[in-house]
Amino acid sequence: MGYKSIGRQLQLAREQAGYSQEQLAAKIGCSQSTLSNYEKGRRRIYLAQLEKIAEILNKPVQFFLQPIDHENAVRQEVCLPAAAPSEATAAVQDIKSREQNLLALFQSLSPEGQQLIMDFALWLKKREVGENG
Amino acid sequence: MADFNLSPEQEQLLEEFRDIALHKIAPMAAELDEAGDGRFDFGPVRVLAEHNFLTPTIPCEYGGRGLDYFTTSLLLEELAAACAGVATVVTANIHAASPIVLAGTGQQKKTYLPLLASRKAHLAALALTEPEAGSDIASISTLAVKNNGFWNISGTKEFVINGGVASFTTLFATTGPDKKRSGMIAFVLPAGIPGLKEGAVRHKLGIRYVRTTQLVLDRVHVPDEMVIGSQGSAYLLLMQTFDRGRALAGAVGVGLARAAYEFALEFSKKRHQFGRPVFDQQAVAFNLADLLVKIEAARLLVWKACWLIDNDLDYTMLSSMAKLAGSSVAQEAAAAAMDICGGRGYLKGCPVEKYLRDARVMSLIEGTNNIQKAVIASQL
Ligand SMILES: Cc1cc2nc3c(=O)[nH]c(=O)nc-3n(C[C@H](O)[C@H](O)[C@H](O)COP(=O)(O)OP(=O)(O)OC[C@H]3O[C@@H](n4cnc5c(N)ncnc54)[C@H](O)[C@@H]3O)c2cc1C
Repeated sequence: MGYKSIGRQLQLAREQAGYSQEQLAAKIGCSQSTLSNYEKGRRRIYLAQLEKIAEILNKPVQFFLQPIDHENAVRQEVCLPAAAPSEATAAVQDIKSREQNLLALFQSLSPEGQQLIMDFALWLKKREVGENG
Repeated sequence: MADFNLSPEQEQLLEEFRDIALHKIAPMAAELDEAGDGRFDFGPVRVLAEHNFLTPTIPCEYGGRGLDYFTTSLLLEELAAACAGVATVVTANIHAASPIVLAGTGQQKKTYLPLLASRKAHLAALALTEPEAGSDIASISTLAVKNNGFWNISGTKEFVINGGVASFTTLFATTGPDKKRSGMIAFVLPAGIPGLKEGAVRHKLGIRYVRTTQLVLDRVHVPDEMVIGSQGSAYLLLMQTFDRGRALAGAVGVGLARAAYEFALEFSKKRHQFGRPVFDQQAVAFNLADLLVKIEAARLLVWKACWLIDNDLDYTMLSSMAKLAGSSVAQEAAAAAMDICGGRGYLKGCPVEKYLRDARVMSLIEGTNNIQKAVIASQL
């Protein structure tokens, strides 16, 4: 009924803004499980609540209702011009949405936070190389 | 803790609802049905307007009764027991007002809500459905294009209750069909605005009192002040309007079911076959017992959904359940009542015949029963 895609946009916007579910839920005055259900599309979000969230996440209400276009969402977040349709299709094939989310999240962090992620990724990589050969 | 006691005010209102339904609406029901879809009789809605029950949810600050959804469900059950058509007109007014109540500007509220609370009977319409867009509401194609600060709206709406007799229409359009949900936009359009015309009047199997028409919009030219809600919010506004309205649609079903049940019960006690009332046949009495269980269960769903709405809790699933249960029991009770009344129930002029025709629409309007199941399933 459309609420699944609203939920996905909500999750994307929340992650881009660097909030955990607990943090955003506390800000809007609902439980973490309610917010989780909004994001899964299992519970309909009512207009007043979405307007509150939109304000906190600094997004227009329309953002949550638009057909999902992860590639352009990330491009907007990283201040790139929107991709032309053919270019967008190619880009979507190149970058999986998990990677896009990670990139956007990474860029929303402070320099210290970004350094922590880099350190952790390097440590993980070393460990994987050790384990797998 | 659940409490099924009505407050003294609700008890008093219920008395008033019953009095109006029984003494003023019920006596007209057969005549309204017989007159058909072709003409609209303002008599019944005038009666309701005199008591300010025509749109009972209008907040007190705009001259309304300010009834909550629970109390409104009591009114609708009584009205539907008297005439499902009249009850449906009241729900249409409530739906049309709902987006304005929820998200209208101060000016929109001041202009349109007092109309529906006026002692003169004013009706309102909600125009969403189109010839090519029914259940799939995001595919509407009535187009609103902005030019030099004004909107031009063109398209055709279908099945609009109170079409052609409404003082204003709450219209849903799109700023571009490819934008789907995010492109939806809502307007409030006063009657008589240039370019808004009544199309074909729809002739129906049941609820024949309810005037239902096409609406044709031919370059209707309106300023921004007529847009309801913030940009991009119309889809959510519509969904919320439906979610609230469906609980009330359930109440209409319960009222109709109750009327059919009560008629059949009385008939079965008076009608003698094989030397005793047909009610004494266990098959008949069990049928009535089953109906009573289902009516009570549907009513409880309606009450719970309304309670959730009134307490600003999550009501989506319960509202769909209430609508599903109310419409289903209305159809079942009307069909069972016809069986219990035998051949007499099938005759024109017997209330049961009207109940059956009226009940049939209840699984179609305000989202078909499949759509209610889809809403419920989406939350599992
Ligand atoms: C008397 C009457 C009054 C009405 N009043 C109004 C009004 O005031 N304003 C207004 O805007 N509209 C109004 N409607 C329109 C009403 O809401 C629609 O008729 C209804 O939503 C169904 O749309 P449809 O008739 O186009 O059926 P369709 O959407 O074409 O559906 C046809 C069938 O397919 C099924 N179906 C469709 N999609 C799905 C799905 N995803 N899953 C499962 N099954 C599905 C439906 O359940 C139905 O059985 C009214 C209708 C009637 C009959």
